[in-house]
Amino acid sequence: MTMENKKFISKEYLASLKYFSEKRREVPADYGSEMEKYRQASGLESMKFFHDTLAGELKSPGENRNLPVVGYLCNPIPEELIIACGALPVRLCSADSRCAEAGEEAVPGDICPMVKSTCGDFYNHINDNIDLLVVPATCDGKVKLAEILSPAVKEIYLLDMPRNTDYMKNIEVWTDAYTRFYEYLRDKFRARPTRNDLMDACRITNERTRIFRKIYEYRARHPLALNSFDYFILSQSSFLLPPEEWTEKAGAVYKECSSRGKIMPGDAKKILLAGSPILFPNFKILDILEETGCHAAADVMCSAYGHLYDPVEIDEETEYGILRALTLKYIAPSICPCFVGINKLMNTILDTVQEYGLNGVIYYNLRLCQVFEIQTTILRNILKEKGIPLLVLKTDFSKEDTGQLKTRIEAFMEMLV
Amino acid sequence: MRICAGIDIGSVTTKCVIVKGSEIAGKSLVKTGIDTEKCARSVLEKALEEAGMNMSGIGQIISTGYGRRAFKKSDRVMTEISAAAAGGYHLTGRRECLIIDVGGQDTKVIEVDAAGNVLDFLMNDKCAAGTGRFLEIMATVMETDIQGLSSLAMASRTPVRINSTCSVFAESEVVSLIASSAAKEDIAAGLFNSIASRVAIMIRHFSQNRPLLFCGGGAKSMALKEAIEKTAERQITVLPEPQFVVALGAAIAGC
Repeated sequence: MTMENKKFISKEYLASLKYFSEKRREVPADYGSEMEKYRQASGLESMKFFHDTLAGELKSPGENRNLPVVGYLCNPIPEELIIACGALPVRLCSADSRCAEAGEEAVPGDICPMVKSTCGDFYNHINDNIDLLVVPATCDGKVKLAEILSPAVKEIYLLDMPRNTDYMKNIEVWTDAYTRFYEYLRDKFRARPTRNDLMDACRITNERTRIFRKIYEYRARHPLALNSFDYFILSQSSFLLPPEEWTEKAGAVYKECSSRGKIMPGDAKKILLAGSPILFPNFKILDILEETGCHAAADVMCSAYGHLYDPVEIDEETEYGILRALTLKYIAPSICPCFVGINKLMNTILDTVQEYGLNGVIYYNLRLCQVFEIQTTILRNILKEKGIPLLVLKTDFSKEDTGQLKTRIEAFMEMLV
Repeated sequence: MRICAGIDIGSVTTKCVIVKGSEIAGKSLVKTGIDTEKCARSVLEKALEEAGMNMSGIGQIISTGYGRRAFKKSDRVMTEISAAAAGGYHLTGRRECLIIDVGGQDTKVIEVDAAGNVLDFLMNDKCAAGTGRFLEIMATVMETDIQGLSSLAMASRTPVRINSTCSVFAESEVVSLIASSAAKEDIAAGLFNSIASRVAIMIRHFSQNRPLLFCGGGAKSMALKEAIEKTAERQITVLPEPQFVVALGAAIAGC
């Protein structure tokens, strides 16, 4: 284990960076009142658990679980390795305008709002339960957080990986990176997980994926059965809940929504959402879609589909085989624009649109989240060629462009008729 | 013959067109005030007066534009994008086209197929970059109005290069150009060119075969039309009464 993996800024310099510890702030949000709106829009008894859980857990991820807590950012962190070592993985991506404001004391204003908000969470001491923070080498903002957050957390691990998703070329390198990460976790938590423990962890997340897929597929055909708010709340809850608990409660949601039988009117239009992640409480885009009567029946986003859709498929039950299989779950199919692998994103979008008879695609760019925006023209041209209508929206957490966004979405809906 | 009123409640002006069959029977324009509802009512009354009609003769009122939902009397709302498409399509004799609409707070390019359907559209971001409002602010800095700015620009031989279409930054750019005693004609031309290059990028996203039409308040500026033509290397047709095209389209959609 190297020192670099504990902190990315040397002790000498850390002494000058006291901003996280000196200014203790109030935990800002009472998410309960913001959740109330979505609670009322829901109409599903089984969703109540998720409304409460997300509003509660966001205030203090991993609290009262009696397990070591490993916080991480982005998808490509293999949760199974953390679970096998007896810790709880929690994904800390954050999208709260108030936290973003607080984050501006540690990072400049013209930075991705999600990076700022994640930073602000640490500033507000929301993540004080975290024993280890795992930062993936995805976008520049996230990588830099490894340094910026050094004064704020006990320990940081940077999971480095090549950005080319050509699996033939990189599978060995990825597997090596995961192996080193696994060794690190074992050392850190003094855990001795067996091959079977690892297999069990994979079974647990696969069960979660199985339920998620049922919900995803049902919703894509019957979007009225589970509204977008509930769908994203459900997905985001999986960032913070132990997987077994999520699976059990989400199973009840599937049961309830699939028995509700809300059938779409024949002429209603369904769209696919892609682009920057949508996270509670920043449901601005979802709010506007709902108000304009636009049904986002499916998504290809890392905050929902990308987090839960792919299973671990083990064909060789050695430890090495499982680690390899994990890279094929997390990296090879990644839709994250940080990787060079837009083919995967395009294939997924085109297949989903065709499979569920969707009428168009809305691509959401979070302002200053450059990796998503930079590939817009490629996406636009491919979808145009395939005759699939596309609407590109660019916005941030603020509300002043609500009118203009509504006009765009309404015009897009008029165009689909 | 069905009579319909289209009301386009824009961010700067509110327009009304009354259409009888497919002919314009009356139209009017007022400045959009704080009370949008009142504005819409008065613009409708004025148009009715010009048409020599009263409310009872109107079959349907369709409202569009930024304030489309504020007018409670309307029977139907549609977005200004669909309305601009309907208006442009009607005026061009029902042919496919690409419509540039430079309004007060939005600049859009709309692709319309031979059947009059909107195929795709692009719009500027939330700020006033490259819109009528931008020109208004710049005209004020130059102590003139948009038409004055347009005439100045037409007289320029060596336009300066202005990089910003952000009203805030462009203003300081213009102020420093004035201070460095650049000719005001050249500054004016530079301002139109900066919008034109934005619009040209939007145009290039679409099929290059469809005829280009120009509407919205911005289309009243000859300097802007010529700047776009030059930058995009395309011929542009300014639609008759360009400020009323969206209101006309809304009315046509009801007929």
